Amino acid sequence: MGAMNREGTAPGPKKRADPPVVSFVRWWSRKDMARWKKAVAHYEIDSYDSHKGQKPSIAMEEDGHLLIRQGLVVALWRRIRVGLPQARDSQLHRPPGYGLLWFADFFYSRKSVEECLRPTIQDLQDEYAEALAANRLHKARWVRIRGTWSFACAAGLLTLVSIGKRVGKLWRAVG
Amino acid sequence: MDIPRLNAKEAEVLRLLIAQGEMYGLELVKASTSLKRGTVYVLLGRMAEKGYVESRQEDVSAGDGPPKRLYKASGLGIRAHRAEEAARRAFSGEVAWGL
Repeated sequence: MGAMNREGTAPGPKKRADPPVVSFVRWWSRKDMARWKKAVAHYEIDSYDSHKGQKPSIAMEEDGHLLIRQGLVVALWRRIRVGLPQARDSQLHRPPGYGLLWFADFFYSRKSVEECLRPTIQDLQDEYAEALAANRLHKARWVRIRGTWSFACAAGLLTLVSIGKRVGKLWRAVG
Repeated sequence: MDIPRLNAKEAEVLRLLIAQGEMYGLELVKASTSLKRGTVYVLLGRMAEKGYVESRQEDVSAGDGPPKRLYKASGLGIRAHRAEEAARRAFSGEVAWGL
């Protein structure tokens, strides 16, 4: 028979402690939430006043910064929450690199995407899946960061090579 | 005659591909210390343009996940690598003789 607690019921599954970064962002997010609501209210009032030709107040600028910071916190929170128990249990996630592939498809030629950028993203997805299969969540996050950096390097290099080719072609045409 | 020239990373890629046959980018990165994840596919793309390597898409049924692009050294790549190695050996021999 399994262990019982004081009430005589079987204990539920043990809750996993969040990593320090996640705890910090959660705390920061909660701290700013009240100020954020206040800022939105201020912003609405100030926007209303600006219709009457009044200058925006300093408080409004500060609130604008607060809104941006809150947006960044939310974005960061969404990035790092992959693998948290509630996220794993209740939500479906797009594979890592989905947005990068969209970006590549939009901005780069089909040849560049097929030969350079899509394989980079596939490597990221492979390594990410391997890390998740081994239940190594921190490694999965690290793979995601490293893969994004690799993609940025590949895209930057492709851009530089493309610019170099165009300059060379122009140089030959002029000379 | 136009002698093909290889830089250090191209020579490293060709060495690995000749030694181990077909490989994909991540395998090359893992097998080497000088190749990086962000630059290996751009390098392979440029080498394919020069004719040093050939690539093909992996069969869909061959492995898990989406098919990968496999690379192997072409005939020109193998000859260029041999010439590079021979030149390096000759140069190091001459240097040793000079010393």
